[in-house]
Amino acid sequence: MTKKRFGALSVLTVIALAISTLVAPAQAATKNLVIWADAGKAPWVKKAAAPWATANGVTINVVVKDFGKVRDELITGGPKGLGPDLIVGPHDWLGQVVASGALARMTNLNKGAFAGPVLDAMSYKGLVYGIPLYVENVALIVNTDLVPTAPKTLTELETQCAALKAAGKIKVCLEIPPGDSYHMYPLFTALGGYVFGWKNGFWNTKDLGIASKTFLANASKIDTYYKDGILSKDSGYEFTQWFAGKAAYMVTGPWNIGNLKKQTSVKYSIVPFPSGPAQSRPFMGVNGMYISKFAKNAVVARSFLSNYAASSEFQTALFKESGIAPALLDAQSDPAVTASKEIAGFASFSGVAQPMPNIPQMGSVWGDWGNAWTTVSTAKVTAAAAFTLAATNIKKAVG
Amino acid sequence: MLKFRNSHTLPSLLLKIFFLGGVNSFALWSVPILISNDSFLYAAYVGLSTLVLDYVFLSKRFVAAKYIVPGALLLVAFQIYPAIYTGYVAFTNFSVGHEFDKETALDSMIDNSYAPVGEDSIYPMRIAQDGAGKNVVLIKEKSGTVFAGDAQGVTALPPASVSYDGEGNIASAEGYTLLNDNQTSQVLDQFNELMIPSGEVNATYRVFDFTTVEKLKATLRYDRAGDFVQNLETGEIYRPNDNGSFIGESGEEIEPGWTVRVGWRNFERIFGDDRYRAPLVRVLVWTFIYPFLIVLMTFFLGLFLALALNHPKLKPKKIYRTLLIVPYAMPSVLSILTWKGMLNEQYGIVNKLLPGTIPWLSDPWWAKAAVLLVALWAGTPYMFLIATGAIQALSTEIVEAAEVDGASPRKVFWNIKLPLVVIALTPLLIASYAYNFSNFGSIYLLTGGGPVILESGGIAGHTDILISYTYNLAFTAGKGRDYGLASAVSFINFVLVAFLSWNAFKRSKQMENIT
Repeated sequence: MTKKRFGALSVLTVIALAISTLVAPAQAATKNLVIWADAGKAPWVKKAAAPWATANGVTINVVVKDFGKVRDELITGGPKGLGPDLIVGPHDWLGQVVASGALARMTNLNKGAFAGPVLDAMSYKGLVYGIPLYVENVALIVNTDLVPTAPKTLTELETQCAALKAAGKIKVCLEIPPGDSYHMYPLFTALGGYVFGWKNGFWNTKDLGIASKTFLANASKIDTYYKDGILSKDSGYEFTQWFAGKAAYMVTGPWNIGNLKKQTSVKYSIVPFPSGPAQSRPFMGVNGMYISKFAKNAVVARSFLSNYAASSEFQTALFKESGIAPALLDAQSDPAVTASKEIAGFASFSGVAQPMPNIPQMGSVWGDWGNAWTTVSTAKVTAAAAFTLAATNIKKAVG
Repeated sequence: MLKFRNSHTLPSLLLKIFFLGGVNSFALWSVPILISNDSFLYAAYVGLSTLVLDYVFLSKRFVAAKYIVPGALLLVAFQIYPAIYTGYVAFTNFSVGHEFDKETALDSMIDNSYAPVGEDSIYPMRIAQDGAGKNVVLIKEKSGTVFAGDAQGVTALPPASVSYDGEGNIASAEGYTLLNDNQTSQVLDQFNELMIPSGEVNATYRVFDFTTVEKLKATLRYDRAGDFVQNLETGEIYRPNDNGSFIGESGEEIEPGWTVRVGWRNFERIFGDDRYRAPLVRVLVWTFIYPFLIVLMTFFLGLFLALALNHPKLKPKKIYRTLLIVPYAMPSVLSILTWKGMLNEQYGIVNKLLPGTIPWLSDPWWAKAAVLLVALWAGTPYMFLIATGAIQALSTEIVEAAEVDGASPRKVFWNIKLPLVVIALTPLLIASYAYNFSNFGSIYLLTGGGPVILESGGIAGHTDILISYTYNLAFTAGKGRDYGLASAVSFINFVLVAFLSWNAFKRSKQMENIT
């Protein structure tokens, strides 16, 4: 190497070193906790966790992650030490994450502090993962101007719909997004359907209820509902007709509380969906906080979960941020929570709720099941045929 | 202008210094990080690339290489490597439940098999330093005995040597210095994974939180010599199968499994499993027709517009040409999403303008029409541009000669202009075909592949092309994510595109020879 070129190289090296010191990462302090949450929940968690962090001298870093990517990033980043200690997520992806081996189970948990279905939701193959934070379920929202007394049975609902329709007061009677199995679930169960049987803490994939005998016997009601305009294929998540006062009922969840309170034209009550030939049940959705198998601060993470995340103090604080019903029984009876008539309305239906199955096989269920609902809404195929086809497909996929 | 040796001008010298400085600083910054993440391959690639770039750019000899090397290095990193990796994944069972290596999977399986012993398995503890300066955990067991524990095991302390505070917690122990909160938090990292054997069979203590330990008992153990997992309660033996899972004598599988090479199994599934094969045929047919129709339609519309705008009597040419290029200049994601809104069945402007409701996105045939319509909108400006170029490059003599010979304008177009333009543009038409063959975005954003082919079990849709079908497979098949299967399909896609392009370019060479 000539002298000149050596000179050029050394200049380059100096510049390179100078630039690299600018971008070198800073070293962190001692007690840390890294939490991943999606953009919606991150600020709530951050605020509600702050008092504990201060009291225990822990630096909590809440990292905002894209909702759909939390799982994949945990699995790719975790083994490389780039993952979090705790993750906030819905219980229904639990199975997928546990099946891959990326979560650590909760060994010590005060089970009496939570309702049974909530713990079932947070369990996978008999083991509990994480701490439930808050619970959601849909319910029937009644336009009380149109329907002064909420229907107790499907038959009552049908009669009310027929009368309103005859009087020309409504465009559609019951607004439910047509292809959405989650929102349709109360109707589905009222007619005798279910997804998987639940046995001893396990979802029994051999017992598929998408086309159960009871449901097939009653499925023609769905066809009639679409024909008679009780349901409509044009309904959507905006619930346009209901909010315009042109629908008697809608099925939605607590995420619409804001919209309900904002409008003043429709008076409403939130009640359980009426039962039919079978007991109507909503799906229970639980959002929890889980420990990563790759947590670098496992002791801090366990301290936070068992001493604080499962405390009334934290869950009430979280409720004040989120407005969603807390999972902890103690927090549910907190005056701040019970003061909301909307929360109470949704809670009136949560007693009979079933946890949404969290097993990985649900990936194969949602698609076919939703397709069945969509086809039924277009009235091209009868409900009995559509759900039988869906069940056949799902059986093949689940194996 | 100021000249340097190597015939550099000042700006070019500065540019070179900053470019190479940037490259080298990137290497200096990223290589240690990559190494610390065990990404040796990437580290070596970044390091070697940097050396090559330095050498090429500091030398006077490699003028041509200066143009080729940076592009080639990026090509390898961002095109060739992912292609090879996809090919590799196609031969593994990489999917939900099989995402880690065997060690990690075993680790997770054994860790989660630790169950609390009895009802109250939580005991108070303090972290302390023993005489030798080593950090140990002082555990107050249920019986009241205090143990000092570390990775080797526990030793009971004489009862008289321990004193307690008002709440019954350990306040001092002879021979040990208790750490205060602050000191404890500084050494906490040592106890994250520490398992303290309790002396009882298979039972251990683990630091649970800041002030307690939990007593746990393993229910699974791994026998390294025999390569099997045993359930310590039932005695059942689980042996590894060829799909990266431990399977028990009863056929029960322990989750998680790990990633293994599975040979051609993914391909066998694609062609052997009804749920994948049946839609695959339909998807394949559409995958060939879709780009063909697009190229045909966009080319003729583009050519027509080019001819029209090339007419000498047309005056404000520039304005028309600029307007035509607008859809091309607009990001395709934006225009596709705009179209999606316009084609919405209930609220879309298209249906509002038309009498009746056309099920643009929910009917199999209309959805195909919608996909083609949007592709026509997005693709025509490009064809218009290249056709304009080709027409203007046509030698006027041939056209004039034909006209002198008495050819009608129609004949001139069909027999002279069109063949010449087609020959000139063939490589671009092939490229356009290959591009649309795997044009994921325009399908995924507009219809998502839908409407669903019901018989396929919701995996494939009527407008799915191979690559969007692959995406559905990757994210909905099996237990939710099946990268192995999806990679196998994209491998097939790659082979098809490569073959088509190679074959087509070979033919277009022959055509060039004719001219």
